[in-house]
Amino acid sequence: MIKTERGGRVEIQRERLLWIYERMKLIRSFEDAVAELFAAGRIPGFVHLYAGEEAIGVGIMAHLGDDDYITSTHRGHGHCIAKGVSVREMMAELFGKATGSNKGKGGSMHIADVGKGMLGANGIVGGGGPLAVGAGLTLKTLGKKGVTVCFFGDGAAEQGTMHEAMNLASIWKLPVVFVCENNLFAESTPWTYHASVKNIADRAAAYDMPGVVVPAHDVFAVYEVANEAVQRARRGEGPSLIEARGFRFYGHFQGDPLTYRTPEDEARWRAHDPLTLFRARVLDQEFLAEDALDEVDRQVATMIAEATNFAESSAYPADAALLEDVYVSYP
Amino acid sequence: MKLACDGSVALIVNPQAGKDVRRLVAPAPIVTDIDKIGILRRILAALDALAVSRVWVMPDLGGLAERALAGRRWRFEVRWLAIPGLASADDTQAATRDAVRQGVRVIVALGGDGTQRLVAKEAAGVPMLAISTGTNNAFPVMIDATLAGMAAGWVAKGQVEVARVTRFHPRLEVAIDGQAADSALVDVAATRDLVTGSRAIYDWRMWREAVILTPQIPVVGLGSLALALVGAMADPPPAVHVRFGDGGRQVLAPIAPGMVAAVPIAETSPVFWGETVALQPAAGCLAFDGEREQVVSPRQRVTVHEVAEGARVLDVRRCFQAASAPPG
Amino acid sequence: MTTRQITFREAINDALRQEMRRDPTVIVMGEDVAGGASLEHIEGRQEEAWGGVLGVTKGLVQEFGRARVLDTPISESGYIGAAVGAAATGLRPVAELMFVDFFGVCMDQIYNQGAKLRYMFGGKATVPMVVRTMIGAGFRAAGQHSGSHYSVFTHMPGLKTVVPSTPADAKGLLAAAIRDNDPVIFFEHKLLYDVEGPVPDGEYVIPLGQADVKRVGDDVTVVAIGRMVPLALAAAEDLAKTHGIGVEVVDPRTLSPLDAPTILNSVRKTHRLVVVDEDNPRCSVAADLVALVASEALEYLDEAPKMVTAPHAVVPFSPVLEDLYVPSAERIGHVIRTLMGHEIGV
Repeated sequence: MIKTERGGRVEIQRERLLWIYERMKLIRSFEDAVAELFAAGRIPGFVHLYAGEEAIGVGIMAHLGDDDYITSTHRGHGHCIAKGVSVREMMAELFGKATGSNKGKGGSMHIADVGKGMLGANGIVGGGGPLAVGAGLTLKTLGKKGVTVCFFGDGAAEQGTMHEAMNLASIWKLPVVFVCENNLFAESTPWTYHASVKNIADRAAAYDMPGVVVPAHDVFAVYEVANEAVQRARRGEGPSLIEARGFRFYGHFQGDPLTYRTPEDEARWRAHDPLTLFRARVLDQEFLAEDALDEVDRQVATMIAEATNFAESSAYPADAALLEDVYVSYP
Repeated sequence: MKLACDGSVALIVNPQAGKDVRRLVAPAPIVTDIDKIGILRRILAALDALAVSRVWVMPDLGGLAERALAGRRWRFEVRWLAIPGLASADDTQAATRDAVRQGVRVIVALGGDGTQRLVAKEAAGVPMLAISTGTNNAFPVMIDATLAGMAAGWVAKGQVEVARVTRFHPRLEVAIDGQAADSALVDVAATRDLVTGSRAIYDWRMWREAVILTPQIPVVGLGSLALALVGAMADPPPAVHVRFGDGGRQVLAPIAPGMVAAVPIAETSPVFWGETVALQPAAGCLAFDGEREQVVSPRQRVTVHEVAEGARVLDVRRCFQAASAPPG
Repeated sequence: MTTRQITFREAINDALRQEMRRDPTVIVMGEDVAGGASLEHIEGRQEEAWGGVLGVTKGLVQEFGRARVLDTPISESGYIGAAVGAAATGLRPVAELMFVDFFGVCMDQIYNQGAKLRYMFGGKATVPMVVRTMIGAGFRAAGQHSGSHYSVFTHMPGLKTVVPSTPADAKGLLAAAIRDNDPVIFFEHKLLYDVEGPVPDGEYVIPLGQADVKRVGDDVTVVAIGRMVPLALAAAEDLAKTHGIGVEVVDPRTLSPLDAPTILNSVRKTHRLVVVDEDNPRCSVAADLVALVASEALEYLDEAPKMVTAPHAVVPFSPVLEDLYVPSAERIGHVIRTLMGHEIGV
C-alpha cells in the first residue's frame, strides 16, 4: 500500500512512492531512448511505445510479485519494466542481440520473462486473453495464491478472444484481472467508432464481473482500483475488468504519420502527463523532496545509458541459434 | 427568477457515472452506456412529442448523445453545448455553463450525486431535473425518462409555471481559509486519505467527520447516516455534523450499494439553516457528495455553510398536475 | 507385458487415465469432456455423463473430479488458448478440439501462441500441451466435420503431430504426447474408435518420432497414415495372395517429428514408393514424403512414386461421393499393381 496507518495516523510510504516514480520514469526514459535509437536506425523492425500510459502498468504492477502473472500486448515495454524485466536485456533484445531477454529472437513485440511472471508481449491483438485465462487456471488448479493480469487495448476489446476469455474467467471464477488500456485509438481508428459501447468496462456486466473506469494518467487512482481488483481476485472472488482511459504520446508504431489526431488533441492530452502530475502532487503535498526525485532521474538516466551501451556492444546471435528452441528437443 | 424565454431544453449526460471503484468493493451496478442511451432516447422522444423547439445537448466524448440522436428525424433543432472534451468533470460543468448562457429553460442531467453536484454548481437558478444513472443517488430521482422528458418539455414551452413546479434543494457551501471553494448537494466529508485516489469514498475507516443534509427518503451513502441519527426526531434538523470514531454509538448504514457497514459515530450535532460548521484542521481529503475532490493540509481552515435555497429542482409530479390543470 | 483386447477409444481413455494418475498437473479440457455439468445435480446419473461427443473421455470425471476434467463452453479460441497459458505456467493440459475442422476458429492460439512462444521467448518457455482432435471422413458428416488436415499442422514449426493407427499405438503415443514438453496435436480417426486390438496393460509409452513397419515386404513400400494403415494392410494381404507382391507397410505414426530413416531404408530396399493419405494432396504430408524420397533416395527408385490421397476437394455429404472421396483398399491395390507393371493406367 502507498499509505499505512499507525496509531490512527495515516502515513505515506515514501519507499513505495519512490518505486512508483522510478518505474514510471524508467519506462518513459526507455521509450524516449528507443524512439531516438529507432530514428537513428539502430533498432531494426518496428516498435510500439508506451509513453503516456506509465501510470497504468506501474499502478497495477505495484500490487504484483514474481508469483503473479501478466499477459501483455504489442505495446509491452512498459509492462515488462513495471514487472521487473531487466532493461539491459530488453534493450539488447530490441537490438536483436544474443544477450537480449529472448536471445534476440523475439524483439519488441515478444519480450517475455516467464520467471518474472511476464508471459510475453504479444503481436496478436487480443492474443493474450486466453493465455491469461490459462495462467489463472493454473493458479486455481494448483491452489496458488497468485493472480494473473491480462493487459489488452481498446482494439483488442473487439476481438472474439477477449470475449471468450472474459466469459471463461467468469464461469470458472479465475483470479484474473482484465485491464483494458483504452488509449482511444486502435491503430488509427478511434474507439468511438470501433466499440459498440463507449465504455469498454460496461462489457463486464455481460460477463457478470465488476467493471470500473479509471483515468490512466493518475497513478494514485489506478493504484487504488488495482489494489481492490487484485485483492478481490486473491480472495477467490473472481475476475474483474478495469478500463484505464488515457493517451499514448507516440503513434501506434514509431514512424506512424499520426494523421488521425490533431495537434490540439495531442496538446490537451499531453497536459495529463502522468509523470508531471505525479511530481506536482508529491511535491505539493510534501510526500517526497525534489532532490529525491531528481536523484531518481539521474539513476534512471544512468540505467538507460548503460542498457544502450550493453545492447550496442553485445554480439548478434550465432547462426546455430536459428534452429534452437523451435522445440525443447529439435526432432 | 426571470429566465430567457428560448423554449429550449439542455441535456447533460455524464458518460462516466456509475463506473467507479464501488463496483469492485461492493456489488454496485454497472450503469451501462446502453442504459444511458435508452434513457436519452426516451427523454428525446418525449421532447419531440411535445414539439419542443430546440434541444441543447452535451457532446460527451463517448458519443452517447450522438448515438441516442442517430437514426431518427427529430422535430426539434439539435444544438451542441461547448465542452473542453477532456472526459473529466470539467465537461459537465462547462456544458452546464454553456446551457445557462444559451438561455435554456430547464436542464435534464443524467448521473449520480457526483454528477448532479457539478450541474447544480453551474445551473444558476435554471431548474434542473436529475435522473439517476450513478452509484449513490440521494439527489437524483428514480423516474422513467419518458416522464422526465414530458415534464422538461412543458417547462421549456412555458406550459407550466416554473414557480409552481419547482422547489429548492439545500446546498452545503464549503470555504477554505474563508474563500469559497466548492459546494455539495448531499454531504461534505473530511477523510484521512492523503490522496484523492480513485475519488469515490467507500472505506468508512478513513472517514474523520462529515456534514450531511438530512434526506427526505431512505438513501444510499452518507445520507443514510443522517437519516439513522436524526430521522426519528419529530422535527429533524436539516443537517447533521458527524464525527466518526469510537466512544459513541454504531450505526448500521448502507454506505454504498450492497455495502452495509456498522459505522462508529463518536459525536453528532444538528446543523440549522444558515449555520456554519468548522471542520477540525487535519491532513486529508475533502469529499463532496461521495467523491474525494481535494487534498487539504492541517494549516487550512475548512468551513461548511448550509444554505436552504441551493439547487432549483423540477418536481415531476407537480409538473403533471400543473399540465393537466387548466391555465390560470 | 500382458495385453488386453480393447478398442481404440478405450486405449485413448486408458492413456489419459494412466497419465492423470501419474501426474497431478495433467488436466483434460474440452466441450462435453466431463459430460454436462448439470448431471451433477441429477441424482444417480453421474455415470451417464457423456465423456465427450463420442465417449472417449467417459469416466474420467468420476475418477479425477471436475477440477481436472473441465467441460468448456463452445469457445475454442478461449479454451485452447487457456491450455497454452496453463501449459506455460505449470499444467499439462490435454485439450480436445472436437473436430479438426474447427481449427479455423482457434488456429491463432495454437500456432501464433502455442507453437511460437518458446522460440520467440528464446527458449524461456515450455508449452507441454496436447490438443486431441477427431479427423476423417466416413461418418456422412459433410464438409465441416470430416477433414483430416494434419498436413496443415505438420507444416508448422513448433508443433508435433501424431496420427495413430492402432489401439496400442494410440495408448503409447498419447502417453508420450502428454509427457512431451512441446505442444503436440494428436489426431484420432473417428472410424478407428471401435476398432479393437491388443493393448499393453499398465504403463505404456511409445517415443514420438519412431515409425513402425506394420508389414514387411520386398517389392513396394507403402507409407500409410492413420486409418489408411489398416486399408493398406488389407490391400497388401490381398496382393500377396493374388499377385505374390510383397508390400511393406510403414506407419510413420508421428508426422512431426518424422522418422525419415525408416522410410528411406524401406524404399532403398523395395525401390518403389506409394504414399496413402486421407488428407488433401496439395502441400500435404503425402507430397512431402514423395519429395523426401525424391531428394534423398531417387537413385534407388525403379518407378516414379505414387500418391493415393483424397482429391483436392471438400469432403462431400452424399454417401456415394464420400465413398469416392476416401482412398479405399481397392484403389490402393490398383495403384500398387500398376506400379508393379501388373496393370496399365490408374
